Amino acid sequence: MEKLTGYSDKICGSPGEAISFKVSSPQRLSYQAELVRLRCADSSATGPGFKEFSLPAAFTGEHTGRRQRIGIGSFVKADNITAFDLKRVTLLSLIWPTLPEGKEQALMGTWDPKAKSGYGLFITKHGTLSFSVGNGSEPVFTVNLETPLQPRHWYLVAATYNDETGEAIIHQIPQFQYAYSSDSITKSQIKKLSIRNNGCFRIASWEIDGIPKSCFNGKIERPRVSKQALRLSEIESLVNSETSSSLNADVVAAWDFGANNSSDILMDIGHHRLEARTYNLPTRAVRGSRWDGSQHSFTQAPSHYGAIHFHEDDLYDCGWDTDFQFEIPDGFPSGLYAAKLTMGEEEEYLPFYVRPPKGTARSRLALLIPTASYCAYANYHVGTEWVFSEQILNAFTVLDAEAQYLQHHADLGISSYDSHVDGSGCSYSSRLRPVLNMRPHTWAWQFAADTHIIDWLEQKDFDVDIFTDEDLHNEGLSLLEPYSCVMTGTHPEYYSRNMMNTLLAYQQRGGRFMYMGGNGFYWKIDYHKDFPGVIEVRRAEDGSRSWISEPGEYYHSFSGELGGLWRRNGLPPQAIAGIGFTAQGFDKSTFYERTDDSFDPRVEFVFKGIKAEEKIGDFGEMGGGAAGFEIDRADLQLGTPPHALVIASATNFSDGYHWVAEEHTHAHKAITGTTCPHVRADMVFYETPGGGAVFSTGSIAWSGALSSKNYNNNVSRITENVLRRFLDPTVF
Amino acid sequence: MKTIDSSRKDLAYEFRDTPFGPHSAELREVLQILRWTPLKGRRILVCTRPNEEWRIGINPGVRGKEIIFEGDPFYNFRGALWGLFRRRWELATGEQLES
Repeated sequence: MEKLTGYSDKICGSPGEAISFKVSSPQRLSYQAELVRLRCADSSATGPGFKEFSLPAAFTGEHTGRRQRIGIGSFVKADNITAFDLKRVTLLSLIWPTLPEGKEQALMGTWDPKAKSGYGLFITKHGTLSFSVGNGSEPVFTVNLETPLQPRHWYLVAATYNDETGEAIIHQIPQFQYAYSSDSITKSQIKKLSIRNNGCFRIASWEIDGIPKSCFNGKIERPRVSKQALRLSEIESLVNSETSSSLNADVVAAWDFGANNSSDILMDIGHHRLEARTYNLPTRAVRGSRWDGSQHSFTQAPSHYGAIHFHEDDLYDCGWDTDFQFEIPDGFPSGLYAAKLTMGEEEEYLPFYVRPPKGTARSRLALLIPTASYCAYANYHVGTEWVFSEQILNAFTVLDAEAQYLQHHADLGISSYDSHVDGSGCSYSSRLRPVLNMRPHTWAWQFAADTHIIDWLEQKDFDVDIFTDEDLHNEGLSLLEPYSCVMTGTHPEYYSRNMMNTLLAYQQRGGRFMYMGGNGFYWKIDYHKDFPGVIEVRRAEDGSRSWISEPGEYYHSFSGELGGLWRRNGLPPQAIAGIGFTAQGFDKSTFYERTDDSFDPRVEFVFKGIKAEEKIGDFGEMGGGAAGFEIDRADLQLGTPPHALVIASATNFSDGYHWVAEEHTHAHKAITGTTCPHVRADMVFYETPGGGAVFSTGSIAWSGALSSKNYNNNVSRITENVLRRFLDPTVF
Repeated sequence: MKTIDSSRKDLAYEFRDTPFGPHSAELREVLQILRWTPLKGRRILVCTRPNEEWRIGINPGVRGKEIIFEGDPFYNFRGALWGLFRRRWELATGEQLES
């Protein structure tokens, strides 16, 4: 059964701005809404305890419920109805189907499945090519081929209908040669019928009542439409035509899918310049039929990248209507808030952050909430779709309520950790949909885990201004400049170039930087310049990853830059934080021990009140220790500054911990916590030019220990020692 | 590749007694084999009431399909882990373990 859920247009706003909430109440029942401040979103018995505070807001009260639907699946639409209102037609394209069998899929045409009118090229549920024409009153005229399409092979497919003769012809021409079954196939049938077209021209899906139907999985390249019934030789000539001058006036549209990869607008090279748009972010900058391995960047060889990869589970923006707004009052404190919805026993939270207006810092400390990483993990399907998840977690799968709901409701989309239904990796992930793992009461990972820091700062009475990754990316150094100290969340894994450069520039200008987590600054991402709330990530070359980018598809469509790990892109995490991802495990966390470096007078302030032999963080909510889950190490070769002090290390890890894949030159067994010296968490400190400094914990689990023993513990003490010194203007 | 020796019930009972580890090297190998089962049909635990109730579910292996439950609910997490281990052991060896 569908649940009461929703999302907001912004993830962060400042006083004077409005946050719009979009809600779906599937049973159309009314619900209560109220504004709450969230101090701690983790309700586990071993954490600080769930802490929310109700606040007055104009939207408080009962709201009429309505069901809002999700139209999942990517497609192309050209809105010029008149241009495609054809009685005689040829459709042709190169296609690379990835899941040809199983269900009917749309390729291209004006087909209206409800009215059974228009013209349309399909793949049937048996994986065969099919062409239909109809007018809504007579029986549909369909020509089917019998030879199924092979998955992940290129074909030239085409269909013609001649209204004078009533002849429909369909062609299936493999672009490869095998010993068997690789012949071209052509079939024709005759039935006179006057096509009636009801709507616009679509590629890769039909539509019923505004929702995409029969979505195609696979690539489409060089789709063309002619208002003549072309012969095969003309079809083969037209598909290879790439300039306006080579096209005659009968060509209605000839789209170049390899151009404008960062835009949703598709260029028609035909004389009519019939613009089309992509919807729901199909994957761009993918290999086309001409890719031969000699080129790897679509910007260098556009002709090799003439295709778009469509998926039935692509989703950018649910596009729901707004149900209510929250206008953030002047002077409203920075923090984490949510619109809390209740309907009987059902409860839902739509979280958002409030920051100070631009240029008006209200404290000396800024906390960066890693919302790019929340986006990367949004609605992930680890337990049900990763065959190796139990080996990584060293535990059997246990599904919580959110994971069950996501399993049962495919229309909420997937994360950049998941693969599409056709097995290709998901490169784009958006927050403009209900994101069920960015909610209170979820596992203390990312969103809920970061509230351990918010909770601790409040407990210790530190004033803080909260910002998100989107603010950091959009505003750069001007955002951070007013602050004496900038603190991260527990797992700031996904960073754009602008975000990386901003942190470096901030440090170089005397800023103080506290990295409160593990596996940060790892994957390179891009935000889209026109589409808010979506990131792109390519799992290129190497890394600890749940899927691997296809060869030749390592470059970001949003920017044209090479994707992958930052360590392979000139900015290793060690250059930002002194440490970088070295191992992960999720069974038992452990403690840090002080190193000889910790007795250096430069770091005396860090260990004030900490004994020389004291175990640091042999407690905590996340695995029972402060060092755990994903951990980092210092490495001079990877960019740790030469003057950095490794002031504590944790080494007592189990065999459930594994050294990261990107550093293995050969596969072997000695990569676990008990056998590999690289499986350790290093805590580091170093000074930066201009009197600044960097302190890094090297562990996601660190913040899970802050509240232990009623906040009186050595993890809390060290964090407080560092923060107080970092807020002190005295130069390092 | 190794298969699970169903006569090594001592390893199963080691898991029953210490489901959260640490585990012996031999039990770790058994667990690694049990955890390589295909996604479709994989028995998993589903928490049906937070911190109170768990059931063994059959992963359909296809997004959007219902998870089918089998057997009775468990009312403590350790018991649920042991119940899941027994079920996977049975599927791997054809032999049932005593509870």
